[in-house]
Amino acid sequence: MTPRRWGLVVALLCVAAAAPAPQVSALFSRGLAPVDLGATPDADRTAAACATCHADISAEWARSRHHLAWTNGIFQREYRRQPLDWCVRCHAPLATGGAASVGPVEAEGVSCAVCHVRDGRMVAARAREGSPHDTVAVAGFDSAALCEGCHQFAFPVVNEDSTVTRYTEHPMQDTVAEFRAGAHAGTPRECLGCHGNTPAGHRFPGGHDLAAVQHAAALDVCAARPGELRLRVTNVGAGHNLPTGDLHRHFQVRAWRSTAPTALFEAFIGRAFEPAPDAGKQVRVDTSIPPLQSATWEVKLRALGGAADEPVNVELRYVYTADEEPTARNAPGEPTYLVVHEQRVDPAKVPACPR
Amino acid sequence: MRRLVPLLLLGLAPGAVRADGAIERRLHADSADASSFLWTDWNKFQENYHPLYAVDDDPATAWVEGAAGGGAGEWVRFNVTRLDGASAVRLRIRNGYQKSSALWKANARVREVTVTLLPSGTRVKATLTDTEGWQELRVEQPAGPLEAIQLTADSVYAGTRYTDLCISDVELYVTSATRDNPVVEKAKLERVLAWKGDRVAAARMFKDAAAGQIPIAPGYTLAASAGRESPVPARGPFGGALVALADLRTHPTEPGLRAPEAEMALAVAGFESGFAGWTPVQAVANDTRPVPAVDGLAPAALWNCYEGPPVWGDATDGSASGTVELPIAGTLGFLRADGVGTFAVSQAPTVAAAIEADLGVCAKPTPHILAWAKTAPATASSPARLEALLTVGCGTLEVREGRERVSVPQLLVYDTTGKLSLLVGGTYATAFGWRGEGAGAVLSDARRVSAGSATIRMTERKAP
Repeated sequence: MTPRRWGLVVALLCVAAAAPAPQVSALFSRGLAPVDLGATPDADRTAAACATCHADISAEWARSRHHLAWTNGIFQREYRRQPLDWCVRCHAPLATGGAASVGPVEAEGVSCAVCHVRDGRMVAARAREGSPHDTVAVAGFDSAALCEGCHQFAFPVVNEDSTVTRYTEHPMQDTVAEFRAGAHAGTPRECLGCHGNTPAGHRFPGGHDLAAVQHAAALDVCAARPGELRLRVTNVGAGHNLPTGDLHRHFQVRAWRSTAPTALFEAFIGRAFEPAPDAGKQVRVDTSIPPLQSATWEVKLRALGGAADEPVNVELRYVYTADEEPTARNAPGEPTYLVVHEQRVDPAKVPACPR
Repeated sequence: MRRLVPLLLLGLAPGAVRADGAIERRLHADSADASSFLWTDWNKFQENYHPLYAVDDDPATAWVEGAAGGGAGEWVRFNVTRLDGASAVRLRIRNGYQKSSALWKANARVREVTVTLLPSGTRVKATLTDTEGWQELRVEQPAGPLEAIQLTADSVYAGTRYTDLCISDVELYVTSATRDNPVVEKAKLERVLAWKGDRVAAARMFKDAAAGQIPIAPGYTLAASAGRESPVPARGPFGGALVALADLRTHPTEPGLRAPEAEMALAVAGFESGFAGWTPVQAVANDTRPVPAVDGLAPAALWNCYEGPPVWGDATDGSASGTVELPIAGTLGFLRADGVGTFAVSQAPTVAAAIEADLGVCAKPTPHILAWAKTAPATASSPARLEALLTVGCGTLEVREGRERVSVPQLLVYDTTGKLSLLVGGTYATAFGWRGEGAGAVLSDARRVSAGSATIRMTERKAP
């Protein structure tokens, strides 16, 4: 064990008797305040401190979106437009003074300490036997109750001084509520049942992981009748709606012939918003697909242009931003979409849809 | 030169997939260059013969070369989405001006053509038939990148009446292994059609005799050059504007556009004093016609405070990369001091409150204009004269979290003859030049400077 590792363990042991076990609901303020680690030494707030003993987990986390919560280009582009301290509280939760206080440690985003350290003690689902840490077992730590600290919140009421001290009643990110209302409610470990399984573990694969999204969303094509395709998207594997999370996220279902791009068929799957009377926004249209449900569209081949025997491209695309194809000046520096499924079908060979 | 004979069309059937996974797809161009295009100003902005009219899917419009002679040697180049692994290009061409059979006969058509694929430089010579309707060519290259397709007329079929060489339409089909993205291609055609629509609308306005004189040159181009770092740091509430003014003052002199020293001095004094002593007014344009928004000269918009001004160059000829903002009020009257009526108001908000957009009148998505005037007093020989107008356009925009009140301040400074000479925004300053005097004067020149951003120069385009 290196001296640095012992430093962390000692620091976490020293205050063991002082603080009561926190409630899982108290670990996060849902964006109304930064995460307070209390007496934890600065050096032990870093992911590197944890990596000395937990190299595998740390490596998983290093590849996660949690690690990129502050630095990813999509967030940074949105933040530059509306730099609210409220955003910082989930994207760089250890920053106690807004964006100005984001240094290398805070820029690690949702790091180990954000979830696992409070008041100088480890917090986790259970205290493992033989662990050198003073670990507080927090009831519900491995449940959706933890995740909703950042993944379930309403539109904020932005005060005149750009602060946020309360929310409207209209959800901005509704992931946990969708899960609890859906067919997979009650699944063991809830969110972690999909997003926290080994071997990915602390990589928490989700909307930016092709395999995870392919596992969640199925795209089927069949012939509804002569000259007409039926496209169906089914939420086969997600416990929440598809899409979920950020308000700009949406799916696009597309069908087109390559020689006739302007005759493109497109369907939007997601939520569209409008300003709410009081503050924030409210849902105007919601076409997101709940767990185990489907959405279908029928597309006339003739409307797609091109030659009658030309194959048809069918695609399901997950788009993270409001502008799917940003201009060079506004590009966030990372992909704005993920092609989830794509196929090129011969209209004459498409199987008939089941009755 | 890879091939000396045309390869006519015996490639894959549309949509077929080659062994390497390459498929043929249509590409649209929203950027085109040409050796020349015919300039006429009978319909002002419309410029019916710009090379983009060859990719607007409309046989009634055409690229028409504008060089002296019969058109041999003239070329047009279509810049397309860069593809890798491009191995073949199929072109469908409407040769000549196919708006009508009469026009087709009257104008010249391409006879021998060289098709060049760029950047590979692969070239193919072919002979087009002298017929109306579509005809096709196919060019192959070793699988590689493709960024542009150029057609050079080596010889022509002479027109019965005109020497102008025309091509009504070119459709581009490229076989490539790159992922097919119809969204991008569809958007490109939509941009071309929007560009065309804007120009048609502006042309209608200029053409309408009842509209009278439009105080803007009927044709102009914008060119961008690298910006410079700020010579002075930004300080204070109007720091960005003062930095832009300082940058404008030290900008290298260019022919045809004087530095408006007196107007800049007045602007600096206004910003540095926080506009103390300026009179709050209601500013009403006498000339309420909208400013034509074409080719990168357009009124500022509330959205500019988030996104900056729109980029126009991508959708036209690629020469510009920004916008020269005109008054956010959006009407032609604000281009001249005598086009604005000012009426003193008694209970006016402070400039600071207007910029904070902390006012009930700022609740709409369209800008509400608040104004403060600086007027030169009347003398024995001249009446009172509006020297400058600070305008603040404020409104409420829908943003990510809901709605947000925003403001766009602009300082308009007029020269001693009443023409808009200087416009200063939050982070930019633009000097304007005019051609002519009196009622016939037109805004014909501009230089927009913004520290750290490209400098944009607008110059009037004149008939060759």
